[in-house]
Amino acid sequence: MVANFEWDEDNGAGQTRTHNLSNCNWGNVDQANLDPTVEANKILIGENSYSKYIFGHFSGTYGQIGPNGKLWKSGGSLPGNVTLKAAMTNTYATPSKTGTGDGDIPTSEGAALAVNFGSSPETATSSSTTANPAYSAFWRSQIQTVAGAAPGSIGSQTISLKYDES
Amino acid sequence: MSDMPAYKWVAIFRDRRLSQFDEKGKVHYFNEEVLPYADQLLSFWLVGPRTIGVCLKTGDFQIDDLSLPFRLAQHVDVEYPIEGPLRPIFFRRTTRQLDSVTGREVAKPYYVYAIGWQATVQIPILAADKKRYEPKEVNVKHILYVHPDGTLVFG
Repeated sequence: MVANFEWDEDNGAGQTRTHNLSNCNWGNVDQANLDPTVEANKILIGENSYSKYIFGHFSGTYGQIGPNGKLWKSGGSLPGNVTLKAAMTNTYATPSKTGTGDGDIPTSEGAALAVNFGSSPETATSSSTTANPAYSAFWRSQIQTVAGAAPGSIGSQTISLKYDES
Repeated sequence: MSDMPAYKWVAIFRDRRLSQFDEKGKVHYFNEEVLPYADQLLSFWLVGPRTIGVCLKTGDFQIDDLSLPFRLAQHVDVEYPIEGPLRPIFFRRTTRQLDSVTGREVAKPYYVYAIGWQATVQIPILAADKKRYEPKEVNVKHILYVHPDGTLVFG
């Protein structure tokens, strides 16, 4: 059998966990599955979104997850003056609008972020794991805008996660 | 409930046969029940839409009814001795695509199955003084990637 998979997200100072995300919209609020049509959730031009801490969650029947974990943006385009920052990390911090300091998310597999795995996002430091359940490290992401960014939705972005399983 | 894989492995040992899913429904694990016993393994197979095997004695591949006499194991063996048995390679490479707006997968996960072998070989490397060669252990591997549409790619 193949492993079960879901995307999860941690939020808040208490690191509240939301399983099986129904979206990963970035916004002006620290919230999983946020509704970007709510006025208060919209990112103000010239500001950043709240950072997001999303990770892969594996369960079910498998022997090993990894190696060769990679994450990159494989689809969707960003409007001018808007960037999507990303990094893989084992450290959770209460999401905020402060710039994460991360680079632009890679847009090709060749430049993908390396993804590690482990028994929790905080301990996902190895290229592979036999833990069950298993988790990827945190995919930390943030939308950053500067003056001149056009109002409105940035549109759908496709995030690819690739890994070996046995 | 986990999905069933398109390809299931079967390991043929000198004295027994082990399937990923046996007749009693028990699941067996490659890393725990095959790889540690590579020295007893004769061949390793992926069974699904195609049948693909690798002989752990010669390094030859079998693709459906066709034999692919790779013979690399023997070829390498002539020049550089292989240390220990050929070790089987098996994994499933999964690509998932998340849509940021819907939170759903853009398409079904893309599974590529990999089967092959690897071995440790000693090759001569020019020493730092550039006056002599010294042996160095390197890992050689030969992998056949099986894509969902049946396409085969050697890597």
